[in-house]
Amino acid sequence: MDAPNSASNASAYLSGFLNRTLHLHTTDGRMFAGQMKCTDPERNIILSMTHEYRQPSEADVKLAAERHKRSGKNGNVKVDMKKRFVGLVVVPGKYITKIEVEE
Amino acid sequence: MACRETFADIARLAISSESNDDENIKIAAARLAQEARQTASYGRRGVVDVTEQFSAASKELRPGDLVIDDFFTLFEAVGALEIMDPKMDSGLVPPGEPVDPSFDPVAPLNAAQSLWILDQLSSLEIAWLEGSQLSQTVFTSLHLDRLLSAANRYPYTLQYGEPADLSTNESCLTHVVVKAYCVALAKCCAQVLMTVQSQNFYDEEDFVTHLFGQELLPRMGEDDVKTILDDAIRWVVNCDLPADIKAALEARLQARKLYMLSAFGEANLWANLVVYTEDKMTEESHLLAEPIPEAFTDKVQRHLATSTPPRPMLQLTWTESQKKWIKLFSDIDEADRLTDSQARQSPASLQKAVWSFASRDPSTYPRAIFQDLLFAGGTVRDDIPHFDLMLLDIRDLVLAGDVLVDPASFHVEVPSDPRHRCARILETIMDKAYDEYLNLYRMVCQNRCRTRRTFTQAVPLLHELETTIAKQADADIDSIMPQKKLDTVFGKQVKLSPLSSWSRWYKLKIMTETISLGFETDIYLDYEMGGMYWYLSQLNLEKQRLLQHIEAFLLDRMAQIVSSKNVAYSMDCIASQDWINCLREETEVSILLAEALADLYALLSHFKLIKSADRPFAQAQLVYEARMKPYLAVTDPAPPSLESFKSAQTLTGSPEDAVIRVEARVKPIKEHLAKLKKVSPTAGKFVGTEARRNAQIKQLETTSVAIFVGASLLKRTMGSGVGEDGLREVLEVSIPPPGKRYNDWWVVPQIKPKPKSE
Repeated sequence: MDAPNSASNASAYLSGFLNRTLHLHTTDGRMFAGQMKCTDPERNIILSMTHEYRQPSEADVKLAAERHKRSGKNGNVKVDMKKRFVGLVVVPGKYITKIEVEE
Repeated sequence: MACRETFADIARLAISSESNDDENIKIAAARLAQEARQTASYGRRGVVDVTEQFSAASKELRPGDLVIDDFFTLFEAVGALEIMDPKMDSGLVPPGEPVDPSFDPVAPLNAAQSLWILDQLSSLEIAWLEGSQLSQTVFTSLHLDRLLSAANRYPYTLQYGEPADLSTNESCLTHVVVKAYCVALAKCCAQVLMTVQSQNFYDEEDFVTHLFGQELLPRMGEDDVKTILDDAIRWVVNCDLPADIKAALEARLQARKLYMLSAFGEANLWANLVVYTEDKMTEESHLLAEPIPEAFTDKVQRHLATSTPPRPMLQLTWTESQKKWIKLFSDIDEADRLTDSQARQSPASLQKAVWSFASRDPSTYPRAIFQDLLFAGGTVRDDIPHFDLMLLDIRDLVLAGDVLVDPASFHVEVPSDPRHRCARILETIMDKAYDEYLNLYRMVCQNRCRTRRTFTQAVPLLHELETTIAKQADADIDSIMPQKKLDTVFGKQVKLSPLSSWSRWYKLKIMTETISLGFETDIYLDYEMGGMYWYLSQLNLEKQRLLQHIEAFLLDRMAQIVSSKNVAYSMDCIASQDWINCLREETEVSILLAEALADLYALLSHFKLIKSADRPFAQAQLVYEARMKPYLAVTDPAPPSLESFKSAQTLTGSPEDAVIRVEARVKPIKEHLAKLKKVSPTAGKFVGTEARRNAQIKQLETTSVAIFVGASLLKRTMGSGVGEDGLREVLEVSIPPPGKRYNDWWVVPQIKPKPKSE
C-alpha cells in the first residue's frame, strides 16, 4: 500500500485497515493484537477482541529452562510470550511504536 | 476448527443470497466473510509493518476526522480501556519496576507469617462472597496465584507440580500448611460458584463470578483436597511449634475443612461453623500472626484476563471479616431451619419463611443455598413436590373441603368420571401458573430492588392468568361439575370461580407488595407518599372484598360437610376458616394504616409541611403514568385516574375533620392486632417464623401509635391559634429513611415542634 497524499485519500487508506487485525507495539514493550475499529488524526486506535502480549519475565525463562533440562531435551529453549485477553481497548497514538497488519 | 468453518460457511451463504438486495445484509455478509478469513488466518499469516504509511495518513486527516467502522458506535468506544493509563490499564508496569513481584511463594515461612497468610486469605474470601471480584480478593495471594498458574500442573504444588523439600518446619509451613489452605480455598470457591450459578442471581450486581481466565484446580478432586488438608492438620498437630500458634493454625485448617465439607454437601455443619468461628477465630489468636503483606499484591491483575480497569486490593480487618463469616454461616443455617419439615407443610408458612430469610439480607451464596433447598428436583427439600405445594395453596385459600382439590381426585382413572376430567383442568392451569407461582418464592430470594422489579413485571401476567386462563378453567370445571351460586359482595347469585379467585388473590397480594416494597426501597417522593398509601388502601379493600366472597362459599361448603360427616374435609374447612379470618384481620390493619397515613400526608401537604410537587416542566399525566406503569395493564381493579390520585393527595373537608379521621382509623388497629396475637402459628400459617411475626405485630403497634401521636400534635397545634400558615413556623416534618422506621413498609412522617430560635 502506498502512502496517500490528501485528506480523503488518507481516510480511504486508513479505512482499509478497519476490521483487520493490527499488531500495535507500545513504548513499554507490550504488543496488542486486535481488530481495528476506529482511528483519528492523533493516531489513537481502538481495537476490539484484543489480546495483550508481553515478553516472558526472567522467572518464566528460568522455569522453562529448568523444565527443558529436566525433560532431557537438547537444543534451544522456547518460551512463549505471555498472552491475555483484554477486550476493547484504545491505544493512544503517542505510545505506539510500531503498527503491523496481518496479511 | 469446526467453528471457523461454520463461520466461513455462513458468510458464503449470506453472500450467495442475491435475492435479498438489502444493503445492510451485503455489508454484514462481507464483514462475516472478512472476519472468517481473519479468524482462520489468525496467527498463521505473516504481518507487514505499516507504521510509516499509517502515521503519514493519520497526519493528513483533518482535526475531528474519524475513520470508524460503520457498525461501531462511539457509545461503545466509551467502554474501551485506555492503554498506558494507570487508572484503566491493568497491564501497565511503571518504568523501572519488574513485571513479576519480588516475593517468592516457595520461600519458607515462620509459623506467625503462615498464620497471617491464612487469616488474610479468609478475610479476602469473605469479601468475594460479599460481592467483590476475585481479582481484588483471593487472587491477590501469590501462593494461590502460583497454584493456579497456567504453568502449574497436577498435583499443583508451589513448585509447579514438583515435590518440595520438607526438611524444616519453615518449609513445611509453606509447602504443607499454606499450600493445603490455598488448595482447599480454591476448591471451596469453585463449589460456591457452582452453587450460585445453578440458581437465580444477578451477576456483577450481587456477586461476581468472573474467573479472569483462571481455572480453579480442575484436575483436583474433592478427595484429593481432603487428604491434603488432613495431612496439613496432622502435621500441625504433631509439630513442635509453640502451643498457642499451633492451636491457631489448627483451628484455621479445621474451620476450612468444616466449611468445605458443608459446601460440598457432605455434612451439614453450618451451625457448628458459627460456634467454631466464634470460639476459635478470636482476635487474640489473630494477634499471634506476623504480617507479611508482600505475599499479596494487586499486581496479579497484570496477567489476569480482564476487560475492566484494575481494582485495588480489599482490606478488611480480622474482626470485621469474622463477623461476616458468622453472618454467612448463620444465614445458611437459618435457610435450613426455615424450610424444616414443619414449615414446609404449608405454602403460606413457606412463603413467610422466604420473606423472613430475605429480611436478614443474606449474601448471594446463602440465597443460592436457600433456592437450592426450595427448588432442587422440582420439590421443596426433596420432600414436597411443587405441584403438591400449589394444589395445597389453592385448597387452603379457596377450595377447602371440595372434591376438586382432593388428592384422590387426581388418581381417578375412569376418563368419564367428572373428578378425572376436572383434575386434568386443574393440572393444566397449574402448569400454566407454575413459573409465576414459584417466582413468589424465588424472587423474594433476590435483592430487594430486584424483588420489587420482578414483582411489578409479574402483575400483568397474573392479571392475564386471572382474567383469561383461570376464567376459562373455571368455566370448564363449571360445565363438568356445575358450581353453586350464592349472594356475596360480588353480587347476587354469583359463582365462586375458585381459580380466578385464587389468581386474583395473588395478583392483589403482589400489587400491594410492590407498593410496600416501593416504600421500603425508598422510590416515592415525599409528596407521593399520601397518594400511594391511598392506592394501597384501595387495593387492600379489594383484597378484603375477595376474602369475603371466598368466605361466603367456604361457610356454605362447611354447612354441607357437617351433614356429610366427612372428617378430613371438615378439618380442612376449619383450618381454611382460621386462615381466612387471619388474612382478613391482617388486611383490615393494612387498610386502616394506609388510610390513616394517606390522610396524614394530605394534611401535611395542605399545611405545606412537606415539599410539594414543584415541577414546572413536568407533565402531570406523564409523571403519573410513569409511577403507575406496573399497574396500568390491570383492568380490574383499574388504577385510579390522575384526578382521583391527585384528589387523594389533597385534603378533603376541613383539617380538623381530617385529624379526627386519622385518629379514628388508628384506634381500632390495636384491637385487630390483639386478635392477631392470639392466632396460633398453625392457624395463621407462620410456623417457623414466629419470632418475626411477633416482631412485626409489635412494629405495627408502634407505627399506629406514632401516627396517633403525630396527628394529636397537629390537632393541638391547630387548636393553639397559630393559624394555617403559622403551623409551618412552629412545626417541622421529616420523613425517616429505610432502616430508621418502625417498619420499612409504613413510613410515618416525624412531626416535631421546631426548636425555638433565641
